[in-house]
This record gives sequence, C-alpha cells and structure tokens, in this order.
Amino acid sequence: MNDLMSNLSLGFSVAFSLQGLWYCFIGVTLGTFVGVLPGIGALAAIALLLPLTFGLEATHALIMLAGIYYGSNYGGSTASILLNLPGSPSSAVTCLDGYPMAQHGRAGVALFITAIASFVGSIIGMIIMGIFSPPLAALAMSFSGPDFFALMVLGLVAASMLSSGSPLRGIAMIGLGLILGLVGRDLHSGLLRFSYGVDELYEGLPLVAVALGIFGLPEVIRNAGKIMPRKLSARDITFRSMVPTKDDWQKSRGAMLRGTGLGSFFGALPGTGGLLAAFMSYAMEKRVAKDPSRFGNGAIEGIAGPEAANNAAVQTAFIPTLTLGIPGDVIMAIMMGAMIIHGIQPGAAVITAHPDLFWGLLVSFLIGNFLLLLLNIPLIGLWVRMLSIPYSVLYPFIIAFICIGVYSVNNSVTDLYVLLFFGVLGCLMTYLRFEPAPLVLGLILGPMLEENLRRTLMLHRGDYTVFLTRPISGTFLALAFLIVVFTLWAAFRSRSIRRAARNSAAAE
Amino acid sequence: MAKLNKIDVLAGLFVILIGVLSVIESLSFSMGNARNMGPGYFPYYIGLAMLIIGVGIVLEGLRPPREEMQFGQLPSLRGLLLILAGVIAFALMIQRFGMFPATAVAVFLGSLADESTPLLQKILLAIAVPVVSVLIFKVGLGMNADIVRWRP
Repeated sequence: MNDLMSNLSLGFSVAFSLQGLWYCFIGVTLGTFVGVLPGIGALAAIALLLPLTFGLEATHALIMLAGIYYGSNYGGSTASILLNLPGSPSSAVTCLDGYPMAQHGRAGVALFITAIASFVGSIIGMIIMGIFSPPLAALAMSFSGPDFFALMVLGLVAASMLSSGSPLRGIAMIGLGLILGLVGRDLHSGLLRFSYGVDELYEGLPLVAVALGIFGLPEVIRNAGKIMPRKLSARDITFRSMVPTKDDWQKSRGAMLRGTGLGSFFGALPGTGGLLAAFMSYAMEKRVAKDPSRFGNGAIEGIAGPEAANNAAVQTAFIPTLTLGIPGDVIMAIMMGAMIIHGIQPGAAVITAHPDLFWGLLVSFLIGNFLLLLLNIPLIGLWVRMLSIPYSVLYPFIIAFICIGVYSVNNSVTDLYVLLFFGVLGCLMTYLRFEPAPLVLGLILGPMLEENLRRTLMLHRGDYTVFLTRPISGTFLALAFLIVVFTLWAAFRSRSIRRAARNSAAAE
Repeated sequence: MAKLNKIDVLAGLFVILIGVLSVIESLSFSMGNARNMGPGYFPYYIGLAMLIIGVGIVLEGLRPPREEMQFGQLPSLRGLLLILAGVIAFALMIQRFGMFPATAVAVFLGSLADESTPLLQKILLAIAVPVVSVLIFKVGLGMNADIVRWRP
C-alpha cells in the first residue's frame, strides 16, 4: 500500500509538472481534433506526430502520444452522432443510436452522455491498469527467452485470428510483417538482408514511413474528392440541450458499467481492442434491454455502453504493452516503436526501471480525461464548428504533413520512397481485402521474435521441445493453439450455418 | 472443377509471391542449423510458411462467395497517380529547392485529385499549406531543413 502511495505521488509529480500538463493538453486536444474529423485516424495522427516527439523526454512524448490516442476516441463519437460518419473506427457503433438521437433533436444529450460514458470507462480502465500492471510485470520478470518467444507467438496469433476477416489472411499479414521486420542488418552476422541494394535500409525499415504509407496515404487517396461536405443535424449545441433526463441517467448507468467491464477485458487481451469491445457491448445492451426494438432508433444505452467499452479498452490496452512488451493493437505497436526510439525497451522492466514513466503516464490519463471532459462538454460547440471544414481543404494539409513528417525523421529522401512503396502496397492490400493492422504488429515484433528464437535454441542445443516443456511458454503456446482451434471451429460453424440457410432458401 | 473466387486467387498468389521472394532471399545466406542459426534460417521457414498460407488462401476461394469478400474499393486512378506524384515531387525537390517549393508542388498536385473544387482554391492551398508547414515545422519545431535553397 505504501508502495502504491509513493508510486502515485511520483506519478503526480511527473504528470503535474508544467511540461507534463502541457504535453497532456496538446495530446488530448490534437486527439479530439483528429477524432472529430472523419478521414484522419488516430493512427495516422500518432505516426505523423511521432517525429515531433524525438526531441522530447520519453515520458512527455508518451504522455502526448497516448493523449492523442484516447482523445481521438472522445472526438470520434461527435462525428458519429452529428454526421452519421464515424470519426474513428471504434466509434462506428455510436452511429447506430447516436445519429437517430440527433435526428430526434437530442444531439446534445447524446454528446453529453458519450462524454460521460467515455470518462467513466477511461477512469475505471485506468484504475485497473494501475492495479494489475505491477503484479503482471513482476510475474513477467521471471520470464526467459522461450517464454517471451511463446508470448509473442500468442500475441501475433491472437491479433491475426481475432481481427475481422479471414484468419488465414490475418496470418499472412503477420508473416509479411515478420519478413519486413528482417529488412536491414542481421545482428549476428552483420549482413544486410532484404535490402535489395538499398544500403540506407541497414537500420531496418523506418517505422513512421511504413505506418504512414500503409495507413495514411491510402486513406487520403481513397477519400480525396469523395468526402463531401455534409449537413450537420444540429448546428448549435446549447448547454441546456445537453442535460439528460432522469430516465436517461437511469438507463445509461448500468450500460456504462457493463461496457466498461467488457472494454477492460478485451482491451487487455492482445489482438483485440476497442472496436470489438464496442460491438460486444452494443449486442449485450440489446440483449439485456426490456424493449430491444428501441435500438437503432436512438436508445441511449446503445451509445453509453459502447463508448464506455471502447474507452476502457484504450486504457487497458496499455497493460500488455507496458508489462509484457506485447502490443495489444496497432496503435500500441506504434507506441512501442516510440519507446524503442526513445531508448526504452518495452517490457517487464519498464515499471521498475522507469517508474516515473509508468506512473507519470498513468496519472496523465487522469488529467487527460478531466481535460477531455472539459473539451467535450463546455467546449463542444468548437468541435461541432470544426466539422464543417470540408475535406477538400483538409487533405492537402495532410499530404504536406505526411511528406514533411516522414522526411523529418532522418532527413532522408530514401524514407520518402519507402513511404511511396508502402502507400501503393497499402492500396493493393485494401483492394485484396487484407487487414494491414497485423502487418505492423509483425514488423515490430519480428526482430525480437527471431532474436529470442535464436538465443533460446542456441542455449538448448537446437532442441525445439524446450518451448513445450517449460511451463510458462508451454501454457502460452497451448493458449495460442486453443485460439486457432476455436477460430477455425467458429469459421467452420458459421459456414455450415450459411450453407444450411442457403439450402433451406433454395428448397422453398 | 469448382469455380474459384477471383479475389482469393489473387490474394493467395500475392502471398505466394512474397513467400517465394523470401525463400529466394534467404538462400543467399548461410542457413546454419537450429542450434546455431544463420541469417537465412528464419526467413527461409517464414517464406515456406507463406507459401503454404498462400495456397490455403487460394483454396479458400473454393467456398461460395461471401458478401464481405468482394474486392475492396479501388481508388480512382486520377487520385492515386496525382497524390503519389505529389509525394515523388516532394522527394525530388526537398533537398534541391527546400521545404517551401517542395511542399507547394506536392500540395498542388495532390489537390488536383479533387475535381470538385475551383482552381483558385487549389492555388490558394498551394500557398497557404506551405506557409503553415514552415511555421509549424521550421519555426515551431526547429526542423533542420532550409525553407528555400538552390542546389539543382
């Protein structure tokens, strides 16, 4: 207990320092901004701003990048409610009932409740992170090479299997990511691999260029000339119109808590995240409701639950990243990249070796969420006006920031061609329906995976069974195996259901 | 023979191609053995795995087409080429002419992708965006790049 208090006071001293507050404020404001605007995701925003954080202290950099991440989740719901256009992927669910509420003239209430639900989810998620991370990290301290290898395999399997779409395609993207992770100099032999004559790649592929190439450029290319200015369903949100009725409170209270529970769980699981949690929460609210037919027509539980869920998931997603060094989703993978760039090896040692970073980040979540509450309730009018910026004005700025951002990392023109290459690859992947997210996970984990495999087998005389006989790594691999079996079973079952449905339809 | 879904065949071939590239690349390095892995070991087996996965994806195409497995939206060729041209222009110009001209050209080319806006707006953007960029990156963040230079 004493420990916790002293850690927390360390966290407060870091997060409440003038710089800590400032970067937290910048982060959440930028996050809300990119969240509100459809067509720019948190991922592209974080990758864009990553180079700007190189000059900062690692803690401040992470406070700011994290702020963008959870801030964008608050902002994402605004566009969902007012435009029926999700500002960020995980707020897609909020469209289902948020937009109908706005059409019924209850946009203010919807915005208010999503802000409160996001806040509740975040704070509880943050508390869970504070309580569970230290023991988990202590446990992870006893892990050795084979355990880490198995854990990474588990993380990658979970990410590829549980993401949407076909599991095989997910694994293929992981594999491509692993191969791309090999680009550059092999640490043991010093030889350049997969560089195809481009010697500048000896340090590996530049992360910012790859991420902006895969996620940023295709987004702009896809949306340019497509996103047209839309009519807002509510222009002015008065403070009076935001006050929920007693009935609204009663209905959303339980939904928020259930959503938080689901979100906290799925967030901490590697490979799953806010979107899945939000959908689960929506389904759950529909199931527990007395009158499920209200859903889709502006049921307040339908926004309170999912919003709490995706924000809780965002907070708990930091748990595996900071304690095990296994990123839960792509954005966490980028965060891990940021930590590595700042010279901090993500993993079990973060909490003990850099307590100021861990606890400072945790406390900054508290501050950030209070700031977001301010930004999203009294200042909501500002963001609503922001929604009327047309995309045709916005995207030239994005193109410029992508180019300059990528170039500024190493002042390297080669990085710009990497950006170009991955931009084309990203478009091709969208066309062939590959999810790009597992690729980035593979790219970041690839070098670590190979290193742990090599070291383990060198120590154990090339004996592969060591992964199965060690209790910890054996458990992880068994879990990974179970996930594969479960996914294949579920895919098989849904296929036979579809076939049965088709057969009966044909029979009629 | 049952009909294959085109998208699965193409996607599978894409994965197989990557597997082949990986195996070929790995063969130019020493393999070593499990006890003492050479630089070729890991990419070789990942490449093999990709070959198998690629075949698996092709075979997935045997099952009846699903709604969500249509081809993804292909961006308009105009938008794709213009925006990529913008990036290439930036790459070619940044070290020769500096940040302002490179950004201006990149933005102008990129803004041509949207046909619905008037030329005047595009020209104004090609001036405003570089100004804002210079203010943020050069003045605000002290980025190490010249605003304008002449080294063709």
